[in-house]
Formats: sequence, C-alpha cells, structure tokens
Amino acid sequence: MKKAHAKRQISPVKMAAPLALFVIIIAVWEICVSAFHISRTILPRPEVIVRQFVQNFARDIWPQMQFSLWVILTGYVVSVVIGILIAAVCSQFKLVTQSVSPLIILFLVTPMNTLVPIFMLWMGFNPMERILIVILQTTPIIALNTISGFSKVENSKIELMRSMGATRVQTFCKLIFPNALPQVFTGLKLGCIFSIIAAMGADLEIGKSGLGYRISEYSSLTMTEMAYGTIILVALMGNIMFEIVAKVERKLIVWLK
Amino acid sequence: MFNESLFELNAIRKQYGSGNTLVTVLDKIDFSVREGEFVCIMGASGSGKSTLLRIMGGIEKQTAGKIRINNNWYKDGIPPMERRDFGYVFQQDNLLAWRTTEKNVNLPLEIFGYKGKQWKDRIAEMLDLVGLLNYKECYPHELSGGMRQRASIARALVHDPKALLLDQPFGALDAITRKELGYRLLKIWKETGKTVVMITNSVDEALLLASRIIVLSSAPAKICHIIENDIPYQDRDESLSDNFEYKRLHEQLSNIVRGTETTDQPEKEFARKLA
Repeated sequence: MKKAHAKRQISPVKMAAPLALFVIIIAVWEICVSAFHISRTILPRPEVIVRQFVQNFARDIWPQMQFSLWVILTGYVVSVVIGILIAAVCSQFKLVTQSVSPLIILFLVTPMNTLVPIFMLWMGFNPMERILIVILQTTPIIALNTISGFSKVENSKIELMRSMGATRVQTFCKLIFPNALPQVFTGLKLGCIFSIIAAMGADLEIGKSGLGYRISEYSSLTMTEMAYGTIILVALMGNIMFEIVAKVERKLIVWLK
Repeated sequence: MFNESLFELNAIRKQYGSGNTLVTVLDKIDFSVREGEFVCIMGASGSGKSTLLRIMGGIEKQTAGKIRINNNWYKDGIPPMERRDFGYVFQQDNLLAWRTTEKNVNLPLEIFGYKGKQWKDRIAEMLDLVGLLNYKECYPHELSGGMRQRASIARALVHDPKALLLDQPFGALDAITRKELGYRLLKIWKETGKTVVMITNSVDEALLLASRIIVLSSAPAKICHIIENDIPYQDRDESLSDNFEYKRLHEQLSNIVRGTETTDQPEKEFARKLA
C-alpha cells in the first residue's frame, strides 16, 4: 500500500495572488504620484526607485549589503545555538528556568537603542558590537520559545519513557526535543525578524556602515529614491531569510495534519 | 497449564500526600502472577487499578510493600533495568507523533540498545502480528484509534518482554473496534504465550480473555474477589455469549463489580483536600 500522506501542492492561485496584489500596488502607486503631483522627496515613483537603485547598486549598496548580511547571519546563527543551549539547560533544572526567565524577558523588552550608547563606550566602532546587539536581541526570543516547547510535554509521553526506564538524555533526545520542534521553529522565525531589526537599529545608532546607516544617510541627503530602494531591499532580505527557515520547517515537521 | 509465579506483589500500599491530605489509594495488595496467565483487574473507576498497574510497570513507586521479579525483591519501585521485562500499553494511544509506525515500534529497541538483524526483523514480525505491516510508513495522525492501539501493542511486544501490562487499552475506542481488538488480543496471547495483566471495565472483555479475574474494592483498595475463569479457551469465540458458564460468571462478576461502586473517589478526594 502506498504512502497515505499527500504531498502539499502549491496551487497556481496561491502563487499568483500575492504577485497580482504586488502589481496592483505598484500601479496604484505610480498613478497616485503622477496624479497628485507628489513631491519626489515624500513619495518617489516606483520606476525611478528601481532605475536609480540598479544604477547605484554595485558602488553604494553591495558592500554595505555584504556587511549587513554578515552581521545579521553571524548574529542569528550564534543566537540560535546559545538560545537552544540555554533552553536545554533550563529544561533540566527548574531552578535555572525560574532564575533565568526574568532576565531573558528583560533583554527582550529593553530596546537595544538604549543600550547601544553604553556599548559604544566599551567597544567604540568595533563591528563585533553590532553582532553582539543582534545576539542580545535575538537569543531571548529563541530561548523563550524553545523553553516553552521543551516544557509542554504530555504527561503520558513522559510515563511512556519511564515505563521503559529511559535515561534523562534518552528522554530529552527522543521525546522532549522532537516534541518541541514546532515551537522551536516559531522562535527561529521570530528570530529572523528580530535579528534584522536589531542590525538595522544598531546601524542607525552607530553609523559608518551597514544598510541601516545607508538608509538614514540617503534620507538626510533627500535621496529618497535610494532610501526607499534600500528599505525595500532590507524587507526582501528579511522575507527570504524567513522563507528559508519556513522551508526547513516544512521539511522537518512532516507529522502535523 | 501455568507455571511458577513470574512476579509477586506483597503488602503493596500506595499513598499520596501527607498529614491531613494523606490519601490511601491501595491498602494492602497481595497477589502473584503465574507465567503464561492472563489476569484481568477490575473494579470501580478511581479504585486505584491504574495506580496498581503503574507500580507493577515501574512507572510509580509503592509507598510500602515489596515486589518480586526474577527472584529479586524490590521495596522502592522497580528499577529501570528490570522494566525491560515488561511491555506497557497505555489507555490513550501513546505513540510519538513525529515517528512512523515502524519507528514507533522501534522505540523500545533504541532505549534498551538492542541492535542487530534479529531485532530489526522482529519489528516487521510484530507489525504483522497486529496486522499493520502495510501501514509501517504512516504517521500516527494517519491511523485510526484502533490502529494506533494495535501499534502500541506491537511496540509493547517488540523487545520480547516476559509480561504485557495493559491499562484499559480499548477503553477509548468504539464498541465494534473494541470487540475486534479483544479477539485479536486473545489470538496474540495464544500465539506468543506471554503473561498478560490487563485492566478493564468490561465484564465481557474480562470473561473473553482472562484465566483469572481480580476485583479491587474502592479506595483504600484491597483485593475483594478473585474469580477463576474456567471456560476452556477453545470455546472462547463469537458464540461465547451462549455458553452457560459464561452467563453464570457474567452475572456473578457484574454484581461484584457493581457492588464495588461507591461515590467516594480517592483522586477527587485528594484534590478537594488540597484546594
């Protein structure tokens, strides 16, 4: 008998719908700007944005994009590792969870922009500083979600492991971790968002390099077309990062209806 | 027909809480299970049947009394290594959602470190025994409730335990599936010759399957009745309900079980005292 589960089909409607919406938005945008004679410093025309952006990409954008990508990705990967490790330790020792949770939430809630000036006093303009900020902002959200995933295990499953005399490690690897995967991926996806926000925020505060810095520079020089273009680029980067994680999630988590 | 005693419970007591909130679920349970027997445990709901089975399976520890397995007496619960001699089947299907049927059945082998071809072959053997060989690549959410319980039984047998412990395994299923699985379990027992201890609330089921039926009183539970089910096994089929001895035992057992029903339920009592 063949496998019973169906492969998820991506219907053409599903792909076409967001594209269609996108085209409509661009069209309306163009029309509005021309019809209402909106100044280019407030809302530039999409056509000009694309043209100027492509023109300046190689010289102005690409090096900063490389830098920002490096900051975001390094920060993200380190956050994932640390976040899951913290959660793993917390799941074994209730006391650790109780003492560490408020601290994690504190980091999550404090806007990094308030701490950045302090870091600048310590580290000056060291590029590692930005990675540190990304880590500080991203690790908590991953850790919290993973802790939540690790702690929500059905009692009956724990009893199942106990009925076989499984060790703590076996119970963790075979039950607690796989059971937590959906929640872990929620944290990983949120982490994508947080790491980009943190990186852009750090750029704005510290300046000198990075896409966030570029955006603020273009704004102050009223090169609005380039500013818009860069913002859209950052949004696209975020989307792609999110989609990659979502794709991994779909590959790994096959058992949910 | 049955050989020496496989394991023995002596003066088992189980209490929860302490001081004012002390609740005695099991009072003084003594019995032994002979090899190859099929024992059914019955009693009012909340009478501690599950607790008793969990103590027998090493999931919980007894408060007092000792248990003998393999000529060793244990006073503080059954140690992890000894639990390999049991296969436990839970009330609700307890399969891991992220594993296929085959991988689920493989779980005990992984935990116990049983490697090698003969163990791998056993997975297929057990799946065939419960009739799920064609479904080994399916995930639990793709199986029906009855199929999931069958998979649980296969899992409980895969490591070739000495005894099978089942906690109302068919309670959550519809009446027809329940009956089917009852016959299937009988067949499995005949083919494997395992010792079985099963909790059930169905008199029909107990009389179909058991060679001996133990009835627990309500908490603090003691064994209040032991009934030998002498109906020969070759007579236990679809026509069983016409059997004279069956009808007699059915009435007797139903009265006994009904007699153990009271309104006091220990777990609720415990919760009330804590609140």
